[in-house]
Amino acid sequence: MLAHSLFFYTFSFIAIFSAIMVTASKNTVHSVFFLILDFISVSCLFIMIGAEFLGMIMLIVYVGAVAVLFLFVVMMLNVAQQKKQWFSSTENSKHIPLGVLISVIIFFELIIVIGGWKFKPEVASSISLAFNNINVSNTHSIGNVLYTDYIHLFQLSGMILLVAMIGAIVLTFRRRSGLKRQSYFSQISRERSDSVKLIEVESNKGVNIDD
Amino acid sequence: MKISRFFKTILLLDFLSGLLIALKEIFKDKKTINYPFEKGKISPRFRGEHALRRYPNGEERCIACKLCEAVCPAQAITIESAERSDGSRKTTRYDIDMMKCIYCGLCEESCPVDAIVQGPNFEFSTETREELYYNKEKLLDNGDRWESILAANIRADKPYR
Amino acid sequence: MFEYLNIIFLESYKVLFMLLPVLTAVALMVWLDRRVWAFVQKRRGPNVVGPFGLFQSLADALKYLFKEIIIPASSNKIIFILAPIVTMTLALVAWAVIPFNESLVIADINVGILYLFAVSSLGVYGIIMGGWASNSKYPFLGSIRSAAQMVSYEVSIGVIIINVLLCVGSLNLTDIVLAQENLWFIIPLFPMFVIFFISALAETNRPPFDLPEAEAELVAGYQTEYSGMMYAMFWLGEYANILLMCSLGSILFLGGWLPPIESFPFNFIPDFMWLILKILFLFILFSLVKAIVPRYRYDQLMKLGWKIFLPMSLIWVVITASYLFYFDLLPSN
Repeated sequence: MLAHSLFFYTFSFIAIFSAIMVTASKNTVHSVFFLILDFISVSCLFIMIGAEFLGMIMLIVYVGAVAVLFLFVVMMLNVAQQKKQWFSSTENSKHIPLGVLISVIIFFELIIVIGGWKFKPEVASSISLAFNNINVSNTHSIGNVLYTDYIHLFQLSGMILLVAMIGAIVLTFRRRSGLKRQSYFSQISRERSDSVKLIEVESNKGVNIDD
Repeated sequence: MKISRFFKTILLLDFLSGLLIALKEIFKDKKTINYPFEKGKISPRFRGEHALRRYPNGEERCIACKLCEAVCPAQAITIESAERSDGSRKTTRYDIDMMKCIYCGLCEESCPVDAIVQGPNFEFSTETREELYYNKEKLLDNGDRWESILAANIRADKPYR
Repeated sequence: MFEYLNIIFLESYKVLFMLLPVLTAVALMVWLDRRVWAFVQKRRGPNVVGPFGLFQSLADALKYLFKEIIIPASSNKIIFILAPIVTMTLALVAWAVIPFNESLVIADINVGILYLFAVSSLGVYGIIMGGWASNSKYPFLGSIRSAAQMVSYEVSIGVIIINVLLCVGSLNLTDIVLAQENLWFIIPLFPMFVIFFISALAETNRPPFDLPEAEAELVAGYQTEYSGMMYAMFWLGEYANILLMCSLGSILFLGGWLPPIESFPFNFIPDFMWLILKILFLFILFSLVKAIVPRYRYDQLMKLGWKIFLPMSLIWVVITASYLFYFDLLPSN
């Protein structure tokens, strides 16, 4: 147990520290790197509680894809480094009440969820029914729940993502007129017979190229 | 697009025929020489490492006319001269910065007494930069070492000059 | 307390015995790559250091070790130094789950294939960090290119892995190999193997997809500002990644350590040798491709990834799933 708690505290310390650094660091690219570190340590925590599937998916989806795109955008935009922290600049500090309100709401929601768990344990156990079978690996049990009880919700969330993706493509997709484009499909499908013609030319006659 | 072309693309036939050619080429004779053990033929006009030559009696050829110093486009040559006890004009310093040198051969071309020449040696890499600042002793030493080849090269090239 | 020390000692012993062969293999593979490349072009390749030039990579590594490490003044120093370390570490860390036979594996974890996939998808960070921290145009463009390229081709590799997983019913690499005892997956899933191979080329920034380091346009891409041992670490990490992709390919499609036929001349060779032979075969294919194929244009690369490979592998998932479901071949456990 000693090693277990040692690892747990290490990873949670890194997670909390990097989460704070995401907001505190002045350089946006550093923030994204701290976000990645946060994701990695959280997925390590997932693996430690035995949810190795969730941990790995977290690594693949968030760290391997989403954070790369974050980084991509932040680097491309080349956001100027903030000289002042958000809480010390007068211009931005008027947003503080709104931020405090949101965090208070989230905090009480968390309290309600955890409290419900504590005082009505049967609510939690009805959700985690499928996870009770110890012989089945958690990948299997997630699959069992996701594709049976929650198939509609699962499909719906997929549809929402698809709609968001199509929306983003439609918003940015425009074909300007008068733009010359290369079509690699027509380029590679060009045959030798289409473009080269061997002809016998009599001397002193020449060839009319425009034919 | 023709159907045959479509299948050719889908089945990667072009790629496979390329792979086959590559596999065939692997077993053919090599076209390159086995460098450190074999060396290619070098022309008499090859412009390699510099050398200062001597007359057969051991007297150095250089008369410190400084034509090479003047003509050098990279300004790699530095010469200082003084009168020797027997009254002849000789160099007291003849340095070539081999890292500045562009191996154009103009020094060799300008020399009226065939003293500074560029020999056939091209394998003179060193571990430090300092070793590439050639001084008079080094150049004369090169001349002594390569003299037979240098003389032969100059003789071979003479009819064309 | 003593127990913990014992475990730590035992595990580090295992890791060391995994790491040393992998690093040696990487050095030899660099030599083999250069040799094959040279042979296709009718050159001799490195043949002076040691027998057949086998120690060329060691000599190179020694040379890099003694070279000066130059850190650009305007670079972000911490990230600049971190980048090659990340690349190298991630490339080596993935070997923990590669099974060389049924018992010869450091960590036989339940989600081995996901772990491999996750680690190889993290590999892009070394390149992005290096490119950004150099604070210079060419490395930055190279890293942007490689980020887009690796993320795109990861998607199709992921879908191809789903194909294999449908046939196996487990995420464990040992189970994946054992499921191929009767039939290697290369036979029913041959188109997927081809797409996997090409995607692996793109994922490891190998020619013809070496756009992040295309010397004609980007000097050396993200490696431009690196020198000495830091460059060598990028280089080792790259080759370790290539070897990893080769071993992933041989485990997913070529039956891992299983011999082609379970009969006398074949099962005489120890089983881990079979995996090594298969990795070697794929690697030689990698280097042959490097020698024969010209570099892709960037838009062609993106179109190939998103408009051809992704739909093809998705369709193949549907085909595989329908086939398995219709003939009631779905693995159940």
